[in-house]
Amino acid sequence: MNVRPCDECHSNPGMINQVMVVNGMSVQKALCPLCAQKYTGMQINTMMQNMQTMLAPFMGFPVPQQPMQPPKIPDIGAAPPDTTRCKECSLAFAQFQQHGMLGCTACYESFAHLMPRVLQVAQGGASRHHGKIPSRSSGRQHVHREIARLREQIEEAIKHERYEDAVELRDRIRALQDQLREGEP
Amino acid sequence: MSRIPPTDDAPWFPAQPAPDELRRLDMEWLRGEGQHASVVVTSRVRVARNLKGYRFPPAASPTELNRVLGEVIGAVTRQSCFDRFHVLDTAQLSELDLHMLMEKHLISPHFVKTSQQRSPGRGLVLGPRGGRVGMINEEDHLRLQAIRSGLELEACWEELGKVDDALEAELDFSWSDQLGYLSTCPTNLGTAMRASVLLHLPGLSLKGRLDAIRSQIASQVGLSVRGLYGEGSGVLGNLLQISNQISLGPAEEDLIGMVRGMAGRIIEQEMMARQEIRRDNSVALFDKVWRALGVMRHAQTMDFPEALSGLSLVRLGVEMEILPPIPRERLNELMVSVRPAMLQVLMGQVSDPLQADMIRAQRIRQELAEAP
Repeated sequence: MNVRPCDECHSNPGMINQVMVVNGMSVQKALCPLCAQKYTGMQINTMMQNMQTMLAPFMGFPVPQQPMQPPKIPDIGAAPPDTTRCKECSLAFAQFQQHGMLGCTACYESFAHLMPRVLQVAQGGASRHHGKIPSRSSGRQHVHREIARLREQIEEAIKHERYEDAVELRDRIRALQDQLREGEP
Repeated sequence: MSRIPPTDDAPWFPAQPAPDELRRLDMEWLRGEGQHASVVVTSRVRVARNLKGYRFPPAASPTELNRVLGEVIGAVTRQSCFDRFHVLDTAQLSELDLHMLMEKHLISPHFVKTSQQRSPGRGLVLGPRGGRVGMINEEDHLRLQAIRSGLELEACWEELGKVDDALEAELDFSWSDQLGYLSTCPTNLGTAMRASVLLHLPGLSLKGRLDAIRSQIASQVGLSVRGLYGEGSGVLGNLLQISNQISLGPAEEDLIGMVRGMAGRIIEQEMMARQEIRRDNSVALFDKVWRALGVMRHAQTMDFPEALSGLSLVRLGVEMEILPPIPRERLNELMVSVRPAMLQVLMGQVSDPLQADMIRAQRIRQELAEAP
């Protein structure tokens, strides 16, 4: 997986896909962040949308300081040493640093110890998903959410003095909590 | 439900649509309807999904890509909600058609590039009037998108949810309890969702406030702003896109709420700017939009940026009821048909840029001639 060099300076990696209109015809160019800035006059925090650019500080790529604005996401410092490889696809972490793309699902586990740093750059430090859960997921999140839903129902039952319902709901919560404990390593 | 085992060979594609059908300007998002359609051109929501058991597309072998493609085609064929969809073999599409699909906001520049290289295992699932579309083996195994005119992010999310659920009933998506949907690039983790709106802001542009608006959006954590052509593009035709930058943490509805909230504030500022201009510089404003219409109706050559700038002013004049009414749908269609590839699809191949500028001007004259 070689990144094409920048179409302008031919030295830095061309990370930003730029569609430009030359004499009314669209031309696609791969530019490095520095040349892209020269071309578009855009500031680094706008270009940060590009994921490779977002990971630039992480990739040992020179991020110009002036006249660009400081990036929204802080520089996370020097890259960690290149020793880790994915146990499934054998992608080296250094390759990820270079291209910003992982090789397979297992990369997330193989590089788990490095993920907090990656997520600091890529997701502003967020580390837990709170959105949609696939219905076929056997994940524990379904159970956690079901428990939360049952707790709300208990409060409702107690408010309306439906104590038998509340007891039944409590038992269901206990069963789900047992299920969670059994699933723990 | 019996599953057709995926093969290593290139998968079988259902019947391909006629080229003319693909090239029509008949698109849901061009209607120019929906909430705040005087400012919001389109709302788009896309999600990324990957299949368990296969490496992500950039690292996958041709065999793996073909298997993923085969699995997705199988799922689409079995689920009834895709009955009116086409599954396109992008390797069979011409460069011109690929660029045209990009100009219609149906595929990404990255997908154009990989399809142009005739790399194996790429396909496109295309819904009626381009309202929903799925790219197979772009950066992720699946990129699903819903697009509508006006500020309709919630409706997009609802429509996208139906196809996502239908595919999920057939396919095993890569998923983690903690990180949500697993994506090729960690910038898409979690919801793997990007919600974006394309705003037409001529009022703010005339008041010289577009840069301030860009900074205002860029300074809000979690949001990003860009020009018409996406990442790294400048402002053409006074069109700005806002989207969520992060995808992990907040739920889909909250991310949509963030984008919608910011869009709402900018719409308000745009409407105020239009009123201020009318109040303070009405002669200059009338002159500007009438002049723009005059140029559009009489120019003999016109390059793409000039066409977009002119259309932006004509649109402003129509929205502010200074110019005679021109249906929003026609202006939207014109905005797409002056783009380089679409222009050639509609008006015939061109051999040089000057000829392109000539037929662009001709197209615009034709479309705006009926206006009194």
